[in-house]
Amino acid sequence: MKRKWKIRNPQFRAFLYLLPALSVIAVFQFYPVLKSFFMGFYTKFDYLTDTVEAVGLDNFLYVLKDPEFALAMKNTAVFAVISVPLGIITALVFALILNSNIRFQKFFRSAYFLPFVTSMTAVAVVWRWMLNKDYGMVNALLSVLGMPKVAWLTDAQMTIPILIVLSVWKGLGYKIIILLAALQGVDERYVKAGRMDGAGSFRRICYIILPILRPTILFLSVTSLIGAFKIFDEVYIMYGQKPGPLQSGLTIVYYIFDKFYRHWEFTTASAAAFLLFLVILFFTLLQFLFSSERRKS
Amino acid sequence: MKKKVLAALLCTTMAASMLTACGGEKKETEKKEETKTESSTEKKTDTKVTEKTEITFWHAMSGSNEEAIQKITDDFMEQNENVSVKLVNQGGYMDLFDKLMASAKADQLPTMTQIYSNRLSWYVSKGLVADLTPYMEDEQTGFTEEDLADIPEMFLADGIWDGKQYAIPFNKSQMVLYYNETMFEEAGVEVPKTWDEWTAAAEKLTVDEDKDGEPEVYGCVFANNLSTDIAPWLKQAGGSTMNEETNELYFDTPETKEAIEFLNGMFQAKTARFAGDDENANVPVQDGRAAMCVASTSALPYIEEGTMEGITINAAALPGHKTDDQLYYGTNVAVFDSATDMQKQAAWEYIKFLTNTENTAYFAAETGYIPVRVSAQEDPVFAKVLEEKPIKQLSLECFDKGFQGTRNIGGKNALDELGKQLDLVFSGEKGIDEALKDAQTNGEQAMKEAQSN
Repeated sequence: MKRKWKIRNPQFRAFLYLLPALSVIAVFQFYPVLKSFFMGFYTKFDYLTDTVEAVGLDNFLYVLKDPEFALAMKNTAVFAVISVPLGIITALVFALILNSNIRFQKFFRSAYFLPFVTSMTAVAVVWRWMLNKDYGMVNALLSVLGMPKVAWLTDAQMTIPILIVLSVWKGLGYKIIILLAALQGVDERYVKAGRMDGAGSFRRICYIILPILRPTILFLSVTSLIGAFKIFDEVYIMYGQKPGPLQSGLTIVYYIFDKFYRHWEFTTASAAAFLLFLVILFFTLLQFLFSSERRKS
Repeated sequence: MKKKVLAALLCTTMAASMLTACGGEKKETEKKEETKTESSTEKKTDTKVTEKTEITFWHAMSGSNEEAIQKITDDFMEQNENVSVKLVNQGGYMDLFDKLMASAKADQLPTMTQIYSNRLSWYVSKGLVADLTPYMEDEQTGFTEEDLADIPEMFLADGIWDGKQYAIPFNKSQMVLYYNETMFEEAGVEVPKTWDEWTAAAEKLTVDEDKDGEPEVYGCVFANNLSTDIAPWLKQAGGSTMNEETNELYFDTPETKEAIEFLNGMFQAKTARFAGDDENANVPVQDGRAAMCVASTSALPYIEEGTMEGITINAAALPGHKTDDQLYYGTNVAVFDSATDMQKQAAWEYIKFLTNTENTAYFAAETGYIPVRVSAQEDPVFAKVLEEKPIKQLSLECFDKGFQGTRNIGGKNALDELGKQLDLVFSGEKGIDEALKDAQTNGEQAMKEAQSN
């Protein structure tokens, strides 16, 4: 026997295997999270030397009272509440169509996947050009139809709807692929049994396919919701590094970015970042609780 | 089998990337050794750099601006064999400032950088910036009396804190009024010299042919956010943005109100608008969708390049009101205190070369910036440019009416708060009185926040 020693405890062995990955996560994820959490409590400190002169809850109170943070929260929430379900429903419709035997199936699959693999920067630049008031393609199309020009990018009312459409379109391909994979796993026999019992295609989808897809849909809604709360690049690039007209595109991450980099209010930014962490944690837990309740019942 | 191949491939990539990383480090140490061991044998008369020195210069210049710096730098290195200047383009100004902030924290600041004074004030307060006064006063390599008299007072003052020179002016520009000459001639309008004339001209030049309330040609276009750029109108109304000594903000004053009422009048009458989708105010003037715009002289190369055929654009000083103050802006160059003494000396000599009459004239001729020395007018290269492009003369003529923005730590944050309120006023969402009151409160709060770091 060559092997001289072996770790008997399987749990400890698993831990050793995980150690390299865990240490990377600890250094680049956990440590910054903790650090920024603590930084949120510094009320007077030297950014360069890290000497803290005073601590307190002022930063958290300031952020919670700041009307701009409230606005950022509202904008982000509206965006998330609409874009997440809309994105999943759209993807589901396309996935169901693609799952049936249609022509050019492969072509459509890759076509929908293209936006997902394209860099957000490139996409946002193209959209900015398409939505330009005087030279954009969208307004050119509208004028062919005899409709007046719309100031897409300078009208505050338009910001959130544009961001929603952009994010639904951009995330479509990824969601379709995930849903298609899940659809492949739906046992044909259930569907056939449903058909024999006289269920129409709509009822087959609602009562047979959707319940089977539930874990996948839960996975998608959790990941998309987290993604939606982190929205930033879309705004940053499409609105020329500004949070949209009249702050209409001010999101939580933009708020943090603005406080940290533009205004050097490091502690306020840290406090806001930790609040964002709490928000995401809350929604994620809520979703898991909700789903485990349903599973039990 | 496949897995094995894949694993091998992954391993090699990893090894390769590690190797390259190590390779980079090695080079660095080699260079350092080089600096230590080799010392130059020949000595030039006007340099104190006696051994090989490398300095890093972070800047945000691209296109023709970058080419011009590169040429001047190459010339400098040719004359000073001991100094090697590493030019590093960090992207736009915002990228540059973000990276400077991060490198300050990591204690890895470059030898020198291009920077606005309202940003530099924070670094000065933290003791991170090298005082250039001793270098400037050095008998052998410093500035002469003529040099000092040659640089406009306001440019030098922009780099002085507590009587010490921390920054030297480099690329400066002026806020001017560009206008479409043909439109003015056709409408029989004179170039405005006062606020009233300006309002009248904007009204006369606005064209809304289809009467849909959305003019095809606007009288005047302004940059998208008037936060840091609001200063000239406050000054011209007899006020100012803030007090540099006491940090007192003057947002909610009768002078500010007068200035905002004047600007707002044009916006509400739809004879003026913001750049909006066009991003830069000069764009609509270049293709005939506006008669005037307020923009920097640094936009000049873009205007020369991108103006539609048949349109002639000229520029004038901003129309005045109670005073005729003209805003100059642009960055200075500063040296960080983390540099070695030899690097500081080299950086100083490089800065001196970069801003001497010949080079500031060359830089101004090649770019939209203005020379930082009065004597540049006599430089044959620039004199020829002045003849061809009379717009460039304007900035030189306005030097004595010029001023530069305030440099308070957190001042930019306060002005951003004012800008947000002004956006609400100009879009008709908020009254002026209420907005200025909020701007004052929010501005004071923002400034306090910024100063606690």
